[in-house]
This record gives sequence, structure tokens and C-alpha cells, in this order.
Amino acid sequence: MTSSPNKIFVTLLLLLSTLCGATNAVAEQDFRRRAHAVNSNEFETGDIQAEVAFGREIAARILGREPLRDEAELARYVTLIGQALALNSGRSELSFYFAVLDSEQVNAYSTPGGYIFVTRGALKQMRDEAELAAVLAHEIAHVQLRHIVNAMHIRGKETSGVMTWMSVITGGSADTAKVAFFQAVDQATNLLFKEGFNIRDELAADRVALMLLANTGYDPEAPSRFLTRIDTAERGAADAAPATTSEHAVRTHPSSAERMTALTTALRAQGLTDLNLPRRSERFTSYATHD
Amino acid sequence: MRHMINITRWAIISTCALFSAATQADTYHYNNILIGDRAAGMGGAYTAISDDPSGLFYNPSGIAHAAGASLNGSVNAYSNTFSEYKNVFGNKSWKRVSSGLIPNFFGLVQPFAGGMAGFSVVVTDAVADDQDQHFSNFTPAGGNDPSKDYYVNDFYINFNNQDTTYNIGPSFAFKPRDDLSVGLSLYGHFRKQQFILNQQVYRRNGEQIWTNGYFQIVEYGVNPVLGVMWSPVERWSVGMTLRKTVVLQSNSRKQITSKEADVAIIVQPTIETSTVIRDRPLQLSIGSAYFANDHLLFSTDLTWNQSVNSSQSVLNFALGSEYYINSQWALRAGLFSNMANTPKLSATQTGQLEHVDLYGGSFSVTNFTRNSSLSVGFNGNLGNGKAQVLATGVQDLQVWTLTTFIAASNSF
Repeated sequence: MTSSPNKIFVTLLLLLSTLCGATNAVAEQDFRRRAHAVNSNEFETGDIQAEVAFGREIAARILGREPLRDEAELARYVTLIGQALALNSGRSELSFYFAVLDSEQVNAYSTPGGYIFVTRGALKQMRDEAELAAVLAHEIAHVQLRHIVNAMHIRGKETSGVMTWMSVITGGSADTAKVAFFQAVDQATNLLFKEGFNIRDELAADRVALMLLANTGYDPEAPSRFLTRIDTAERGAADAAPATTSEHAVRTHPSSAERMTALTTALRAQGLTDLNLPRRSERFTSYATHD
Repeated sequence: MRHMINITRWAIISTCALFSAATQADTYHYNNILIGDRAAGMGGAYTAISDDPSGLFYNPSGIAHAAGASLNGSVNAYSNTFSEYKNVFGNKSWKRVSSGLIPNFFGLVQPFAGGMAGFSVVVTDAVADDQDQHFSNFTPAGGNDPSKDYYVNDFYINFNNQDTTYNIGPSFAFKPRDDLSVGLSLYGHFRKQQFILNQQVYRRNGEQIWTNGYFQIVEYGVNPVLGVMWSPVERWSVGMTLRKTVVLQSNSRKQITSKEADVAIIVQPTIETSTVIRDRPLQLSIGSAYFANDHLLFSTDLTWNQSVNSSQSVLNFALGSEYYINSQWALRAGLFSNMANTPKLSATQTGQLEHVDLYGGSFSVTNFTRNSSLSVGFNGNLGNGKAQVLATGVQDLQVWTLTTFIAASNSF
């Protein structure tokens, strides 16, 4: 059989360029997932400890980038609202912590283990307590659904002695776990500040947040109001002075229109429309003054 | 290896006209070792799967689909190859055994720069071939003087051949689209072979012949592996891999020391060195996999090796399947071929290389916990062909290989 390596390379490159230019034949690759993956979805005590340690490390990095707002009453107020929401999160094994970051960016962050941050810039855009609760509930939902934990595959140490022993014997386990931990922290920090959650996770957090709000007694339509205002503000800011827009919020979330459409659908699907639950704008204004 | 064949033939023919080329079969085949854990259990039919560290070798584009954020895996294999050249001296057979523990594979993958990066160490071929035999009271073929008494009272042969090839290097894969991934592994290639052959012949007429040959070759080069994986429809995956080892530097040394039948002293060693670089074939693999559900998949590979130098082009196949009994246990099985790149032997020609096509099977069992897996398995192949270990004539050759392996994989 005669052969021509150059022809084969050219053919391969042509095929590649054709494939890259074609439309997606299969958008999701979940069919590659094998049955043993369900083992990774079971969580044990060691996993919770790993999650908290991991989240604490990321929280430290967040605070290294953006300092805490030095306002004790505001911090206490935000914490009380957050704790009330967290009671309904189903993550009773976690101790949630809430804090306000002294940043003008309009954003909020959550890390595994229950560390929740909202920026001063975000508070300025809110008009009532329900909207603050909506933002906190969205971040709590990320923790509840373990979005970073699953994305980074954060787990405790292997508990099977035989497996650990055999892994060491065959060279499959070493201090690489420690290296992997800190690399995963880097990736998670990058995910929070640059890449953002994927749209599927964001929309899932929105849906769960609606139930958290309603179960805690806040108006479940608050997320839509807040998003509408943010969207309007961002459009205006972009027209006037692009540099002042909330870069992180734009980068790390799906479009406001997309989220609002999904929220409207979820409100109806979950029977949360026309509940007339309180917004508590007076109390919010008394604590979160817009200086 | 071609150098080794020449030296062997030269040494033996020139000294006693008894034996011609008879070397280990491995460079006459391209599919001698099944790499990795999951792949080895599936007969190497992995080009369209490749979503764990061993994918760095089979198809680097596959690691873009790796399930864990960070994975590593290692495989250790104990391999036995038995070759029997039948009826070399009358009804006496020539037997060689290759056995050894091979650190078959180590690899690590993790997310990097929007894709997946990896690093792997692969032993792509390893031979530890031994022959220690004593034959007595026979008349070999090949004597060129009818009046001479070639009857051999005793013949001793001690043969050892160590030949290992390593590929070491980084990989990167990314997904330009959800259903398409592209990857590249850039392996450094290193091969070292040491070969020693010692023969003593004691003839009935009182002549004594002794030959000692030593050969060593060290090669350095690169082995780029370009891979593509595409899912044309749900649950189907097709993969393609193109690779070629390019030897950049080669240093060989052969040394022959002998005592001929008609002289009383040992001839001074002859030493030759060479920097001739051997060409290696371009290899193209095309694979397809069907993920029936999360418990069952089927895969198939076709691998074509280009014809280079005197070797012929070769087409190998592999079929594999994986079945999960439950989330903790999986079974894998496969079938594969390992065809010879040498021409079929002719009864009328001399100096021919052995030709044996091998067909094999594989099986493995894997136990999973949340973060790790442990596999135990075996693969083996078997074939009957022809060889020409004497200067003339053709012998039947039977080769079988059995490899057992244990492998671990961890995710973080």
C-alpha cells in the first residue's frame, strides 16, 4: 500500500476545519458519563469538611481582593436576613456566613461551605429587603446545589482503606491531592471573578432562590424587579460611561432578559405569582443607607 | 532492530553456517502493548473514547471530555511472551521467553486555559527476551561441504534482548464546539536496546566454534500525536488519531567476537558504530464508539501503519465493550489483532524475517469508589506463522503473549 503522509495531514486539517465550521450536531456530551459517576454524587462527612475548607480558602481570596464594609449594623442586618433564608436551604450541616464587601461593583458571591458576600454597589441598586433577600437567596442556592463543589469535584479523602493502599502501591495517589486542592481554589476563584457559572447553574439557582424567598416570607417577584433595574442601569451606564458598568455581573451571569424570562416561567410553574408577600422597604432603607 | 538482525545473521552464518536471522518478533508488530487501564481491558479500542488519562496516548482530544476536574492514573503490567520455533534441529524446538514487570503508563490531566492539559509517561514497547538452551546430537542443515562432518555433539545458546521504548510528554485538548474536541500530545521518544548472543558449538569431528555478539542502540526523537473527536449524533462518538515517531538521533554499536572452526584462536572483536536513523511509520487510527446507556458501550478501532523501509503496511483492528454491573463494578472485554509487518515467507528464499499474525483478547474487572478506581485484568494474543532461524529452510513459529495488569485511577 502506498502512502502519502502530507496528503493525510492535509486531509485531516480540512476535515478539522470543516467540523469546526459546522453547526453543533450534539450540544451536550452527557452520554459519555458512566454509571460509576453516581458514586461521586454521594456526600459524606469528610466531603462537607472538604467543602467548608475549600470555601473558606476562596472566601479568604475574595476578601484579599475586596475588603469588608466596616459597618457593623449593616453586617448584622444582612446576616440576619441571610440566616433566615439559609434555614430553608436544606444545608443544615453548614454554618452560613454573610458579609458586605466595600466595592462599587454590582455583584454577589458565594463560596462552598456557606460564605456569602454582597457588594455595597449591589445594595445601592436595591429598593427593599426582599430584593436583598433575593440576591442572598440566589447565592445560597449556589451553595445548596453545590455548583462549585461539583464543578471542581471537591470531595473528602478516600475512605476505603484498601483502595487508598492499592492506589499508593500502584502509584496512583500521592501529594498531588494537595496540589490539586490549591489549583482547584485558583480555578474556583477564577470562576467567580472571570468565567462565571454556566448558564444552566445560574438559572437553577434562580429557580431555587424563588422557593427560598417564598418559604422565608419574602416577595418572590423581587428578583425580577432587581434584575430589571440592574439591566436598565447597565444599559444607561454603558451608553454614558462604559467603564462604570458592573463588569463582573455582566461577565458572570446570563443576560438579564434571559433570566427574567426564566424567572417568570418559574414563578408560574411553582405557583408563586400574586402571593403579596412583604417587601419591607422601610426597614431596608434604615439599614442600607445609600451614601 | 534492523541492525541487530544483520549482526545476528552475519555472526552466525560466517561462523558455523548454522543459523540465520532469528530475533524477537516485537518490531515486526506495532500493537505489542495495550496502554492504560480502561483501554487495555477493551482491547485497545479507545480512539473514540479516550476520556481518561490513557486517552493522552490513544487520542489526546478525548481528555477534553474527562469527567473529573483532575485525574491521574497508572498501570503496571506483568507480561509473558513465549515464542517456539518448531523443529529447528530435527524434532527439537527453539524456545524464547520474554517476561517482566512493565510500568505501562502514568498520566495526569487537569483543566488548564479553557481546555484540559495532561502529562503522561508511556512504555509503548518493552521486551526482555531470554533464551538459554542446550541441544545435542544432531546434524544441522546448511552445511556447504558434503564431504565435511557437521554433526554436532553439543550446541549451547544464550540470548538476551532488552528493548524498551518510552514516550514522555505533555498534551493539551480543547473543545471548539460542544460536540467536537481537538488534542495534541507531544511526546519525546526514547528507545534503548541491548542485545547479547552467545553460541558454542562442539562438533563430532573435534571442531569448536564460539561466537559472541553484542549490539546496542539508543534513539532519541519526537512522537507528535494529533487527535480529533466528534459526536455526529447523540450517543455516537468517532475519533481519529494521527501519529508518527520521528527519530532525530540514533547511535548504535555492534561488537562481534568469534572463534572459527578452522582456527585455534579467538578473533579480535570487530566493532562497528552507526548513526543511521531508522524511519518509522505514520500511523492513522479511526475509531467509533456507541454509548448505549451509562452502563454499556461498544467501541471499535482500525489502525493503519504506513509501509516504511522493508516493512509492509499493516492494518489492525480492535473491538471493545464495557458493562457496568452496578455503580461499583464494571467489566470490560475486547478483541484485537497484531499483524506482522513482514512479508510471508517463501520456502525457496534465504534470510527471511519471521512472519506471524497475532490475534488477541482482553478482559478486566474494575471496582469504583467515589474518587478512585482499581482494575485488574489480562490480555493475551496468539498466532502461528513461519520463521527462518537457520540459513535455509522455514520453520513453524508459534507465539503467545499473556499480560496481567493492575491499574489505579484517582480524581481530585
